[in-house]
Amino acid sequence: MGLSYTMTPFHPTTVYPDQVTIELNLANQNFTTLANIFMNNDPTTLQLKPSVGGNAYANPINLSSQTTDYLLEPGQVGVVSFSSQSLVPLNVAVPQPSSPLNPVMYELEVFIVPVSTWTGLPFMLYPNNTTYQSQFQDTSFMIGEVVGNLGPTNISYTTTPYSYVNWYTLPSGWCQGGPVIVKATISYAGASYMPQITGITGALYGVSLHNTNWFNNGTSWTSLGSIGCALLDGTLSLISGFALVRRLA
Amino acid sequence: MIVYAYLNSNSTLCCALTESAVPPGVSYTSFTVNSPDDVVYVSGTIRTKTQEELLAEAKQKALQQLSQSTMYYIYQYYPDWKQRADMIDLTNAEAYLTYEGLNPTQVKQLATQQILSGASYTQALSTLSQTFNSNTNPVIGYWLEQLLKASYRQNFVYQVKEQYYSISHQLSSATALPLPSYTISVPFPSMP
Repeated sequence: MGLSYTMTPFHPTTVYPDQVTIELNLANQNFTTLANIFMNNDPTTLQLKPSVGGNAYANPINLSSQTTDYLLEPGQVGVVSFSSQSLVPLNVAVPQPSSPLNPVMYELEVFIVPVSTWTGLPFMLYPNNTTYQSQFQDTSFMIGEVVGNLGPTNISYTTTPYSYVNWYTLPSGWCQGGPVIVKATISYAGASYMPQITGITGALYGVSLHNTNWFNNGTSWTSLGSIGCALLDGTLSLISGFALVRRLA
Repeated sequence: MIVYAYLNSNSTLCCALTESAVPPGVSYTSFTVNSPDDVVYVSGTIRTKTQEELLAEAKQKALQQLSQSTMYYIYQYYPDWKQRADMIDLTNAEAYLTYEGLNPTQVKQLATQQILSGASYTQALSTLSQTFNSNTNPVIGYWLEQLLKASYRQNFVYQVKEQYYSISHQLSSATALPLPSYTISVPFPSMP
């Protein structure tokens, strides 16, 4: 992004030091920002850049280098690319819903490749870039092909809540070398209501369905948060890939 | 990784993964840990888990995983439906052999002796046939086969469970991390 826009840069009734220089610079910055929404940064082309409207998956908004959370509008898609990172901030702001019947919803799609061989692979989402002890209850159904000592099927219901969204991919959270795909639908109806994250993960030899409820106890969800993958001992793995975030509502 | 731990207004332990994720005005303590799960709130104090706590937790996870892996290993070779079918075959075999005037206990005794001595299935069947079916009655031959096959498969389960207890003991008695790695490696008996 790197662009800024100042509403009403001129203050003719207020006098302050260096006013002319400051306000003209702000106005110039506004012209630059506005010009950038046109093809070739040239308003005379009369053609808007497709990404300006967050043209869904064809031209997602690049959030990789955002330093603050970006507010996606409904329908817009953001993309975060990452390489050899242990923790990946999604850089997406979560607005507060106007009412419980108008929840904020996102679709999150993540493609992950390992940087080195893994021995374990829970996928994690940390809302607000924070963990909250024992507030995330996960229900899962997993199916995996027989690999070594791992079983053909596993159905599990997690009775011990986690401190974040924690999705195992196979019966023992085991994966080696292959890519992992995560697809999740996230809904947030406000701080007084339990957010829900439902989705599917697929990895080498297995697939799993998950539903996680966040017993948020009044905590507002303000930042979509960060994602990561962990080894069985809980240490975060280095991962590469990309995440697409689409705001649905 | 560095985490920034604090208690929120509900006294829930929270670990912010970046300093900027800590709510404004909240005091926090930073820790360098492998995972946010390594921070605990005990007796009014936020601290990192001790080595003893980490070891105990790792053991618990490893033992759960071992139990699951063992079950899957057995089912991989000897599924549930086959185990039930073997139990029915054993009952029927005993009934038929008794009807023919044979002593099923003696048959099972010899079968077990053959298995424990390391005899192959083919060798054991030959020994059983010579001892209890010298007239080569085909129906007796069939039930001797079924009884022997079930015995070999049940011995496989026994061997896997033995290995399970051995690995379980190694994991439970570990005194430091990392815990020893293991592989369940009992071969399934070769039978026609």
